[in-house]
Amino acid sequence: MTALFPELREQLHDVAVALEQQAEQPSTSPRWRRLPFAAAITLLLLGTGGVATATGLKFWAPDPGVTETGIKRQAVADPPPWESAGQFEIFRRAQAAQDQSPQAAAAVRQAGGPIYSRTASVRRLSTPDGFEAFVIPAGQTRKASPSDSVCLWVRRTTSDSSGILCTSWAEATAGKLHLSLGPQLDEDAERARGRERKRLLAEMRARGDASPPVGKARYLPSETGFTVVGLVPDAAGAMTVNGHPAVVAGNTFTATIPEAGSIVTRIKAK
Amino acid sequence: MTFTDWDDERLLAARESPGQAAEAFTVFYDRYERAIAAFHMRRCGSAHDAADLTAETFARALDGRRRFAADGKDAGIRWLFGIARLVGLEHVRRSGQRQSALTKLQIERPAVSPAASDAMAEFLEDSTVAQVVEGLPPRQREAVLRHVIDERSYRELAEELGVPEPVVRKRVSRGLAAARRSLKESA
Repeated sequence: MTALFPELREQLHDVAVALEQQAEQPSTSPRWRRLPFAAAITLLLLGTGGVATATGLKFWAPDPGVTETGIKRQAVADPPPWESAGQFEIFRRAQAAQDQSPQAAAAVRQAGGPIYSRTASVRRLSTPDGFEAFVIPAGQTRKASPSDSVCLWVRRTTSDSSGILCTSWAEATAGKLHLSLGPQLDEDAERARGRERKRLLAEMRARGDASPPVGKARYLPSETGFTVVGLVPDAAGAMTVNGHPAVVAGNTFTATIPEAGSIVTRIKAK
Repeated sequence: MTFTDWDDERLLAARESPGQAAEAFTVFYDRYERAIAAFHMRRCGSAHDAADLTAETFARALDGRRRFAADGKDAGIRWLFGIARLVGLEHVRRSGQRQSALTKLQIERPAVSPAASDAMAEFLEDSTVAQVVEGLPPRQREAVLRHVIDERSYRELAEELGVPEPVVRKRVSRGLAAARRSLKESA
C-alpha cells in the first residue's frame, strides 16, 4: 500500500538514519567542514551531479526493487559523496545512454542493501571483451553521507553469469571493490560428466557402495584461470592482483589469477 | 525473516541496533500511518491538520524511541496511540507552548496530495481503524477504546467496569490483537 505522505516517510527515515549515525559517531562536526580547502574547492567545481543533468538526458529512475529486508527502495538523483566519487573519472563525466541500459537497470535491482540507489550516477565500466560491468552508488540517506556504499556488478556475456558486490567508498578508492568470475564451463563436457556420474551412481547403488567421487569441473580450453574485474581510482598507475599484473584501463582493472581464493590488490600511484 | 515480520515492540527496540533502526522505524511507520492519520482525521476533521498531527505524532515517536519500554503485550500500539492522543489534545487546546518534534528534527510538514486528501476524507466515512474497532466484540471494543484512547489504567477500568483486573487485561489484549490482525490484512 502506498504511503499517504511519502515525503514524510522519507524524511523520518533520513532522520532515523542520521540519529543512528549520531549515536555511533559522537562527533558533531559535519564531514565537509573537516575537508582541506583544496578539496572543498574541488567539490564546488565538481558540483553535485550538475554535470550529469547538463547533458540533456532525463533523470534515469529504473525500479530499484526492494532491500534485502523487504523495504521498498528508491531511485534518487542525489550524487554520491564527491570527496570519494570525485577520484574516479567515470563520475566526472556525464551519464550517457550506455549507462542506462536494461542491463544497468538489472544491476540496480540487485544492489539490494541500501534504501537509496543513486541512479543518476550509475556508470558503465569499460571492460575486456566478454564482460560487462556497472558501478552503482547507493546510500541509506537521500543525501550523500559517510555511510554511503558503492556496488560493482559484473556479468560474463558469454555465459550470462553475473555477480554483485557492495562496499564502502573507502574500500573502493583503495582498489578493493572487485569481483572474480571463474572460467567458463565447457557445457558439452559438463553434460558428459553428468551422464557418467549418473551411470556410476546407479552402478554403485546396486553394489551398495558409497557415493562416487566428485570429478573436477571441465572448462573451455580457451579459458584459463579466474578473471578479476574491479574499480580503480584515476590515481592508480600499475596494479597487481595476488602478485599478478593487472590491466588498468580507465577506472577498471582486470587480471587473471590461476586459483580462486582471497584477493590481494596492490596499487602503485602514477 | 524481514522487518515486516517483526512485531511492534521489536521494531521499536531496534533503536539500539546499528544498521537496523531506520528501516525498523520505517516499517513501524508503514504499519500505522493510516491508522494514525484516520485517528486524527476523525478528531479534527481537516485533512491538512490531520497530516500535520500525523507527522508530529511520528516525529515524537522517532524522537522518543529511547523512552519506549516494551512493558507488556501491545506496548507499541498503546504507546503510539498515547502519543497521538496527546498531540491531538494539544492541537485542540492550541497550546502556544507546544514543543514541536517536527521543528526539533527539522522535518517539513507533509504536503497533502489530492490522493491523500481523498483517502483521508474517506476516513470520516469509512475509516479502517474505526471499522476495525467497531468490528470488535462490544466488551473488547469498550476496553480498547477506554484503555488506549482514554488512557485509563487497567485498575481504573476494572473498577469502572466492575470486573477483575486480569479480565480487563485480557479484553484489551484480545481486542488489540484482533485490531492488529485486521490492520495487517488491510495493509
